[in-house]
Amino acid sequence: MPKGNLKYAVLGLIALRPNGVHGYQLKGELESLCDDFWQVNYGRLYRSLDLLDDFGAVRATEEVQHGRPNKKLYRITEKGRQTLDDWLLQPPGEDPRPLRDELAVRLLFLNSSNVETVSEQIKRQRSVYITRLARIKRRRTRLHKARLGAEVTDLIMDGAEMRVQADLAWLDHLERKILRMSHLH
Amino acid sequence: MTTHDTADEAEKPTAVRFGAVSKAFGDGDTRVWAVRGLSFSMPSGRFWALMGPSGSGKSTVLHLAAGLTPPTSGTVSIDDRNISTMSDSESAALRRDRVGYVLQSFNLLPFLTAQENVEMPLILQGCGRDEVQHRARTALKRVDMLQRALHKPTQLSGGEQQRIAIARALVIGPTIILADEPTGNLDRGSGNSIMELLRQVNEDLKVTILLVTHDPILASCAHRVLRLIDGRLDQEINLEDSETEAEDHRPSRNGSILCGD
Repeated sequence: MPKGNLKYAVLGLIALRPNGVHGYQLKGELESLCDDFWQVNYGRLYRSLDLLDDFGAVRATEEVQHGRPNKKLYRITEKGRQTLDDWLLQPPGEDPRPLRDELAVRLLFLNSSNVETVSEQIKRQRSVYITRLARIKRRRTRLHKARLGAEVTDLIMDGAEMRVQADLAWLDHLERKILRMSHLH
Repeated sequence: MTTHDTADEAEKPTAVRFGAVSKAFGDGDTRVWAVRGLSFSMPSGRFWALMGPSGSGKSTVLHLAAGLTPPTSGTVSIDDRNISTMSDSESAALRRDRVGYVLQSFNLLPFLTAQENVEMPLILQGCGRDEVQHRARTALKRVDMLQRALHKPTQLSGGEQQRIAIARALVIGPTIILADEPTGNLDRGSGNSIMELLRQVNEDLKVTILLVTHDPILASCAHRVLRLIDGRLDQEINLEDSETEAEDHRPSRNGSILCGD
């Protein structure tokens, strides 16, 4: 199957539903689970579903709807299970997460005249991170309610939390250092 | 009820109010200011978290709110009553009847059973035997610990001991619970379930909760986070806004790291 982890995430979610699942259900679940990694839109989701279908990993059956376009119900195939198992056993790729924070870039231009501005930005960033933690918590609750492989989804949410926690620890560290700098000047 | 609420919106009861509160320890050369001119007003029924590095004054704020120590200057009010001007016995009565306290170290009496620990505040209030037992068992049920009622603290896990401590705080029917690092001695799993319990207590029983923590993951359970630095309010983060905003509003990401297509 062509590369692309989103497809495997979609396949994995379909595998959790032996009775089949609709595209719009998948979108919600995928967003809750993976919103840390991916922007999920219908275009990307249906492209993945089409590829999985072409490859024979899932089978789509049409459900006739009156007055509305037909819905497709997706089920995993035997080949799909095998593909998923193979992928799970592969070693993960080695791409590290790049430092995407604008703040880190701005620090390159820090000097004694703009310490105040950077302090303000640290605060704003902290607020963004803590808000993100609150959102992860709500996603965790939603996923528990959806009874979607609770242990595994918990681990994914733990990972998301720990990354934000590390980012916050770095902000605190930064703030301490910067405050010290401002005292020196 | 709704119309009543709207009409009274401006006069919503305040659970905790600090008016320019300062607190110093020691005197002369060794005087240290733990809290400096702190003002805030926390409406009833809210769940707030106090964060900050160690030594930022967050525990002192909790002690001041509990009336365990008087402010050096400024006023502290609980349930719209100024505790700074109360007599010692008045403020002790307010604490006994209105304020539940949950600490990192649980502070259960080791020679009493779980239920006897929970009964203690009611016995101090002078309640009758039947009422004491009934209310203690209701509180134990609330924290899902009825099945441990006859255990001594040493026979309970840390998470279970903290549940008993929360039952002891709840048994008086408090309007506010002050919690000082309640998960500090617990592993991640037990800590999460204690936070979930506090959140339920706030949501279902409408008990105001003021939580002190250094852990941002715990703080993010709250409606609002106050961050202290050097005894001053450094930052306020309102997390209720984040519930209403669209879930997909987030900083833009290229998203191509984990996804090849």
